[in-house]
Amino acid sequence: MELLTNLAHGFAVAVTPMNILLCLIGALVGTLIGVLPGIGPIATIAMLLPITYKLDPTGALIMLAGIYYGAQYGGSTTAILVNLPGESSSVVTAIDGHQMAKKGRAGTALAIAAIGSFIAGTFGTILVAALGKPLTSVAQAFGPADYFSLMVLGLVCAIVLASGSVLKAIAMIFLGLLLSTIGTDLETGEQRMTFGLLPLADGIEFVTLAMGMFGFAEILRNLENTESRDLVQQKVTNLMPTKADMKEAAPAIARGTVLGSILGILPGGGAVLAAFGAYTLEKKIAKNPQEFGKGAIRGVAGPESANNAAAQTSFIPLLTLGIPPNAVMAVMVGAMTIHGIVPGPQIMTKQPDLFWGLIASMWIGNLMLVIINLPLVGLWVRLLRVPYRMLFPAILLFCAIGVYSINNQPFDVVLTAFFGLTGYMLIKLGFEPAPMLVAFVLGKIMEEKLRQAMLLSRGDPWTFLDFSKHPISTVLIVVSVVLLILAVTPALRKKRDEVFVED
Amino acid sequence: MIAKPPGGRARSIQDIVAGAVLIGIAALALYLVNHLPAAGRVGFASGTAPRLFAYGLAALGAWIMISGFLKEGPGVDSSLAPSVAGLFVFFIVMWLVDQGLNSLAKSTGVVLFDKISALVGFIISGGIVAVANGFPGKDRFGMQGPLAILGSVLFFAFTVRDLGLAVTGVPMIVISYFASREGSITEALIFGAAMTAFCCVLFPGILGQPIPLWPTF
Repeated sequence: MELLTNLAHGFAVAVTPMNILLCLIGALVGTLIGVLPGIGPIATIAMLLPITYKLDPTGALIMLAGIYYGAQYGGSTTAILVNLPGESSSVVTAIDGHQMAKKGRAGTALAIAAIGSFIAGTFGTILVAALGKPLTSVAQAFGPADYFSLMVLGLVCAIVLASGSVLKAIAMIFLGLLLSTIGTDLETGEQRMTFGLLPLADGIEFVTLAMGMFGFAEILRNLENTESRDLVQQKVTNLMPTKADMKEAAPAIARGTVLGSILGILPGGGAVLAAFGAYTLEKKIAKNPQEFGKGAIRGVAGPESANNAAAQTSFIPLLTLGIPPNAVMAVMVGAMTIHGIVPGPQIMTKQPDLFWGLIASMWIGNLMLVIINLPLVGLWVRLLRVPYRMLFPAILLFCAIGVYSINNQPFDVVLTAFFGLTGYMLIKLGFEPAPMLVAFVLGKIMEEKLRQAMLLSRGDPWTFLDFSKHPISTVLIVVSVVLLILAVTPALRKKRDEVFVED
Repeated sequence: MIAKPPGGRARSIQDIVAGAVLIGIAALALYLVNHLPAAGRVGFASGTAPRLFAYGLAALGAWIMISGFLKEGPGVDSSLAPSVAGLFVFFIVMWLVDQGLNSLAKSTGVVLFDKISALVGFIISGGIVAVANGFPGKDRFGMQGPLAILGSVLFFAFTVRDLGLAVTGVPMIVISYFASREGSITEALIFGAAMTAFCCVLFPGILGQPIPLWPTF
């Protein structure tokens, strides 16, 4: 019953005209960047951070959250109609979605994607609300040692679930941790790795790193492969799926929702992995798997439900434990920090408006998105005719203005360009920058907690494994070690790689 | 893209280069924290965490590099090495020019140097893009895209404070347009003017961002 009271409170916060408007803006921007290939939620949220300065924190986070789940809706439109993933989380939607569109069933595919997303979004939102309270009370019992070990577990999960080479994922984690130590030391005030540059004394501004690695580096990479857009030309009709379609898709939606919700909570998961996982699952349990790749409706329903469920549930660790499970949530940490909010269990007790308002707005946003995406699909398709050569200069200008405005510091813009170049190089060398971003955000807190724990234990590094004093920490470390060993075990690695195989 | 050297030994150039890059970054970090204490009273000091992470990174780099010698894998784009090296040089030159002019401005008290640095930034970035663009066998290093993108962003960084958004926006977009192989200069100018006008209204105007709008001479 308390849950209902809290949710009612949340809705009261979320339905103020201002917050409704911000939610709508977030959903619209999310759909926009979701539809447009070549720009993702990470770069967009980073780009819009400075704009939210003047808003109150609740409104700002409502808008930024809308961008993330809005992108999950928009991404499917491009995937189905153009055979090009608008978002990396809709890569697998393109496989069967576009085949459906070629057979004249574009409307059905779009509708199933939107309905599946909405059902998954609703379920995800309820899960966030339900798990909020219990997880928060667990988190409140955590000491510095437990927190440190929890973050270690988070990073290990990010390694296990990352695509590509495990070694390279671990390397990116270490690079992120190393970058996070740049700046003034918290305890002694000494300058660390700043080259004597004043703007680096406060450490690397998070937005410059995120924007460089995900905004600029993406543009550099996109410019290399000139894409061919295979737009389905005929008018999209029949937005209502038939009863048979619904019956066919319903179990896939249910499975995608559950799988996506779980993968969203896990560190290193998020929308992309959820979609891949759901597609693999659908294909594996299908009665006639040969239909997949030729326009199977379940190949659209499963992944599209999963990615949106994950987009909602990835807020759970952020809001309750203060730990961003993926790169988008890492950017949300940046957003909260700008507004003076420390992510963690205290949000729910100290800022109930923000906590419940954000959750309620997610459901409202999902409802808006169904309307934004289905009847207005023609409008979004027309946007796809904007050539990339006009898109990227605009993104560059927005990014530059956004980065400059954080501190009115031209140096930050230079640094962003530097990280763009570095990110481009890392991608070319087969590295995945997303775990680095998570490690960068966690690095600062981790070092702080580590040093606190060491201080409390008078310098005993085994305190994290001392079951009598820190049982939670001990369990978390043991789980991390087991996971890490499993991750490098050939048998499990083979399974993991299979999930990421597209066809 | 599978690199198979003569002699039939399997190796992955990509992993070898990747490992070397990681070791390089770790070495730089270790050099930079050399003056900080490695350990303190309770085990941790300001230099402990950076050292731990750098050692980890170096070890991983070595591991990746060694595995690159042992297994077959992708190579690297032939354009990667020259473009990354060239761009890093470009970066350092830009930074030195700015630093040098700034310190000159401080010692002589002539504020005009700030403006000169903006101008030099403009000429260098514009010049490099033009040269890269006009080379015989156009864009032979595959550098035109990265150069134009980074050149335009750096141009913005070096000029926006003195020239203002209204003046900086158009050339920035024109420079970035060189990154694409399509479009015309006319289109770039028109699009640049429109985008700049839009941003001038949106950011300092509606959103009240404290970004300079006009030149401050």
